[in-house]
This record gives sequence, C-alpha cells and structure tokens, in this order.
Amino acid sequence: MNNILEIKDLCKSYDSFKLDNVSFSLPRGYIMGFIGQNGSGKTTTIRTILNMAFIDSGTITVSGLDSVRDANKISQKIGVVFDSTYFALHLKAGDIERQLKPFYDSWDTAKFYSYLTKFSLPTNKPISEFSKGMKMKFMAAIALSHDAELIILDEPTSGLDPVARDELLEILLDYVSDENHSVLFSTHITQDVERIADYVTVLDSGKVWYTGTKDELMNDFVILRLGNNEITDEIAQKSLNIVRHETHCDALIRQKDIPIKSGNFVYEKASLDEMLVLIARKGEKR
Amino acid sequence: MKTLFNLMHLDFISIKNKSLPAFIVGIILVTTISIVLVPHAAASMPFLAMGFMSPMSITAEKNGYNRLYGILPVSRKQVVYARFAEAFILCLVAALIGIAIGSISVALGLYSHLIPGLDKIVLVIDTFISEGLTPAYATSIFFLTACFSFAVLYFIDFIFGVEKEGPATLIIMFGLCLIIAFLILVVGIDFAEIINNFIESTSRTTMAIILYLLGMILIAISAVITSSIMNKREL
Repeated sequence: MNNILEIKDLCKSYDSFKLDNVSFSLPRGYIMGFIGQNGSGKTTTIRTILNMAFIDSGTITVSGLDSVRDANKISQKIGVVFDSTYFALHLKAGDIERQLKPFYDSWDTAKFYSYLTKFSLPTNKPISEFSKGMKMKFMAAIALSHDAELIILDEPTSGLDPVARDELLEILLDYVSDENHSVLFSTHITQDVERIADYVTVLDSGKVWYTGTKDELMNDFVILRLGNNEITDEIAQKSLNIVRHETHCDALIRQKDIPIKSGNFVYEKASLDEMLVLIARKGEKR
Repeated sequence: MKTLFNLMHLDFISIKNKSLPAFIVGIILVTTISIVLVPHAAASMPFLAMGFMSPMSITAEKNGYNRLYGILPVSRKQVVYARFAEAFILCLVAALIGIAIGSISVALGLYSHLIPGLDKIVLVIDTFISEGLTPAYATSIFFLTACFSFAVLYFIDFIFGVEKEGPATLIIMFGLCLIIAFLILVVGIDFAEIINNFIESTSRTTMAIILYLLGMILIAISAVITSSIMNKREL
C-alpha cells in the first residue's frame, strides 16, 4: 500500500519522557486518529515529523522523503493545524496570506479566499477578534491552500463547541474525499476519531499501544466484566489491561482471547474512551 | 536567498502596522530638525531603524512564531540570518538617508539661520564641518552603535528570549566592560591613546568606511554565533 507517512522505530528522549520505538504508517487517502492521554507523546511525535524536534533514532518519511534531510520539501507537502494560532494576531487574513504565500510553490490565493468565504471568515477583522473555532478554521484554510498532501492536526478540537467541532471534521472529510489527501489527527476527544478516522494509532507512555484500522480496534477489543475472584491466570495473561474496582474488575481483552468456558462472563464492546481509560489505569485499584 | 527575502517580508508585514507610522513621523521630525536646526541630527537615522525593528522579537515570541517557522519550508539558520540581515539593511538604508539629508542640509546652509539668536550653534556646527566632522561622518558612528545594539540584542532575544533581554543585556555589557578593564589595567593596553592615534592618522572618509565595515562585521559575527546555537535547538 502507498503510505503518505511512515514512522519506523522512532526514539526521542527528554529528561522526564521518551518516545520508545514508535512505528506506524498512514496509507495515502485516509484519516488516522492519533490518540492517547495527555503526555503520551502525540505532540512530540508530530514535532519530530515536522523536524521541530530532533529524533534520537529511527526514521520518518513523508511521501517517501526523509523528515530531516528533506525537511523543506516535506514542508511544502504538509499543512498543519495546531491547537492554537501561530500568526501575529493583530494582522488580518489578507496580511497573513501575503506573509505565507511566497514560501509555497503551489500556493493558490483564489483557493485561500474561497475557503475563507466557505468557512464564513471575515477578511476585515484582525485574527485576535476571531473565536477559537474561527481561528481553527483559518489555520485549516491555510493548510488547505497550498495543495498539501498531508494535513496534520494537533488537538484541533480541544476547546471547540460542538458546532465548530462538527464543521472542522466536515472540512477534513471533504479534504480526503480526493484519494490523494491524508490526515493525521491527534486528539484526546475520541468521539471525533470514532466519527471520521479510518485508522487509529494509540500511544501510551511514549509507546504505540495499537496501530491499525479503527474497525479492527473497535471490533476486536471488548471489556470483560468480572468479579474480583473470577480473574484466572489465563484471563490475567491474555488481558491487555485490568482495572480493579471495589466490587469487580474490568479487563480489556481481544474478543478472540476470551476463555472458551466463559459463558457466565459479561463483556461488551469497548469505546475508544473506555479503552483509553483502561490503558491509562492499568492495574490500578479504584 | 529567496527564502531570506521571504522571511524579511514576513517580518516586515508582522510589524509594519506598529512601526511604520512612528518610523515615518521620526524621519520627518529628524529631517526637519536637520534642515532647520542641526544638520548632524540626520546622523541619528540608524536609531530610527532600531525603533522600527524593536517590536519584532516580542511579536515573534508572543505569537509563537517558532511554530510558524516549524511548518514553513525554512531552516533555523535562515530564520536567524534573515532577522540579522533585515536589521543590517534597515540600518544601512537609514544611514544613507541620514547622509543624504545631512549633506543636503549643509549644502542648503539653512540650519540655525532660520531661527534668530542661534549664532553660537551655527559657529559650532561650522567648526565641526570644517574639521571634517560632517553629518555623513557622524552617521557612521550612529550606524556602528545601532549595529552593535542589534548584534547584542538579537543574540539575546534568540538565545535567552525577550523576557530575559534586560538582565541578559546587563550581564553581557558588564562582561564586556570587565574584559576592557582587564585589558587596560592588567595587560596595560591604552585604548584611548590607540584610538586617538588611529583617528588622527586616518582620514575622515577612511574612518567612516571602517566604522561601516565594523558594524557589518559585528552583525555578521553575532548572526553566525546565534545561528550555530539555534541550529542545535528545537523549535
């Protein structure tokens, strides 16, 4: 399969945190949800893709180009939406367009203004007067105006109201309808991922916990509800995580790994939210 | 080179609303004073360039430009070089404007004659000019001072951040003073005598050229040191 983004054995250490052999790939034409609790390494991974943070080891390629050696070429192919703006807020949309246009070979001014119109963004107001949702849409308009093959979004929906979130997700769905475009979408709002993502990568404490299709993740994993004295060695061994409550346990387990003699066990499909909670609270007694 | 110009263009748009009106008023004011009162006032034009560029570092830092540089097809080196280059170019342009206005003022000879009772000032100005201390020469001194200020301030802003600009400037200037004091008191180098001898044995034109070159060298050295440090830093 033709991958727009490939990360292999990425390692990056800081004093109190490290990315540990992170590997995943995003096929061209799809949306990948990049999830994990705060501090799991999502933003660091994105910063290494953009060459804003230096990698210790491993490789990152975007459209076949090396993230370090070909950083400038990659920047031409990537559009980025951060969780907050990176423009001088006293400027108006037109000023920022004039600032950025010369840097991109494929910048399309007409397309930029058509996005402003489509997203109902005013051109006569400074960006500082935009709401958070408008700022996000403005960054999306910029990301979409230079024919980027890959859009990377880092927590774009945090703090957005449901309407603005919905609008942003619609923009992304519209963008990937052309099969040449892809999206890497980091968030901890898992409902957004459940809604639009084709692939999911789950990070936990700097390690990839899962990477693959969303459907496989949602179909394969279940939460097994057990009495505290019902945890057998087999279940403990096969469970990915077990959270102990006062009265019972929740075990995150692949459906195929549920012991055959488990007729009495209750299990239900896990939402991404529940999975994240179980991953984060591994072995914790509540 | 194209990327450097693009970055300078980006910076110019970032601060033009804040700086351009004051810069234009400054030029008009200095020109008026230079023509009407003291031709040497035109020499302060490079300081207007400093005023024009002063909001740049804080604008960049306040608005998270590091992330903007992270997504743009530019390198860390180019970001640093563009910032220093625009400071140098602006100082140079301001100095050229200063030289032109100062020279025109001297040629017209209107200074201090328009206002009665300023004969003593006219005498001092004429003495300066006859001794070769023309507005053009004075501009080179202001140019060097502005370049030195940019060289120190941009280094500090890039490496330590705008918030630490005050204390960092004090420490660096104190360090420079200590080095000079060490050279004078311990090594026994008499800077005053060396500089005096040098000035007396050098023509004003040569001296002005040396000052311009020195300004350029200071900015270049600071740009190279800053970029080599920034190149190893994450955005």
